[in-house]
Amino acid sequence: MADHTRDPCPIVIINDFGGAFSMGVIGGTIWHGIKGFRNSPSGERRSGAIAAIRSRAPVVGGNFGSWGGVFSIFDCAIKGIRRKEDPFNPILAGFCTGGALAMRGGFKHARNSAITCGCLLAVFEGVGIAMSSYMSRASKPQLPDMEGGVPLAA
Amino acid sequence: MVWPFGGSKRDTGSLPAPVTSNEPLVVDRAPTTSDSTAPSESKSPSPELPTFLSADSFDVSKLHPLAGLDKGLEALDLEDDALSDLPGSKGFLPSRGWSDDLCYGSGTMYMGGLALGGAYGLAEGLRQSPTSAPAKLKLNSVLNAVTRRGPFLGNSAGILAISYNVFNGLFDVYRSYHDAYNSIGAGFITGILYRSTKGIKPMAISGALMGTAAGVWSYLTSAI
Repeated sequence: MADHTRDPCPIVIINDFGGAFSMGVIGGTIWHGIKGFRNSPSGERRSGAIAAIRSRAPVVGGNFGSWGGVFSIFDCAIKGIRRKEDPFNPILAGFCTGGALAMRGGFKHARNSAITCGCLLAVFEGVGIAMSSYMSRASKPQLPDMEGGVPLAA
Repeated sequence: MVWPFGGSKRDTGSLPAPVTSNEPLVVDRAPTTSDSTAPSESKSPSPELPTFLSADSFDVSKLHPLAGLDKGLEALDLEDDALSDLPGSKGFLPSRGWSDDLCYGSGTMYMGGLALGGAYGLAEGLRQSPTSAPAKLKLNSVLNAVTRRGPFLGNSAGILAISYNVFNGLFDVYRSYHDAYNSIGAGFITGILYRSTKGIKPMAISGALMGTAAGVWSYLTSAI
């Protein structure tokens, strides 16, 4: 039941932060590269794309990274408080992350953002559970042939 | 190998530390356990029980020397077969491959850059506000400077770390060998890319600086 594929809790925050930051940087490079390319006059397209990447991609990376880092901090905190590992931890952590990152915009904005992030994480976790139960249906334990309540073969 | 929070590894027979307290860490409340009595052992055993089952008889120094009770958090040590098989790659920092390097490297560089930039912004904010200003104005100026400098330096440091780790990983795969030349080459290319819009001379200077820094880093971690 414990998830042994991820590193233990305090140090995994750095891992999650770095992973989210890298995803944001690479995704932002592609996105803003294409956007800058298309929105520049011909003859200036390459330098327009490079300028857009240089100014926008780090910001996207920082946003993704801070989302991932705050999510991981809340996840570790909730795990420590509840002393259990189950799918509710990421859902609650997503809720708290959405609220924390939107807090500067006021209570209503923070509340809406928190609910949105919580639902998003609930969908992710649901899909993850469905996938893992689909993958493991081949290795379920089989009932041996029985007669009168006693297995036939020893 | 030394983890920041953990103990050292590399002995062959380390066993998990036996639980010497009477209370289990996690109480299992699942309905399948039919035992309704408290799961803790009684502190004073009945006379029929052998004495070694009582809690007083556990003497830590007499337990198996390889039980690893003197080590720190063993959960943070990496399994031997999870480490990379590339010759020469088992360095000072434990790592399970390029994804570990990428994530932890860019994470620590971003946080380091954020801390450094934040400190510089703090100094700048304090310096730029007039000395007779009230505390709120000073706080505002400090926050402005920190928010301007910190994430900018953090972003730049994180991007450099990503680029360095990506090229390092590519060189590792391409050469099937992990040594200092991979690091220096990756640092050099990162430096060139970083200043690629400014001309040949800044590119060369930046490449040389980054290559030197990468060489020093790989020497320090003895990843040769």
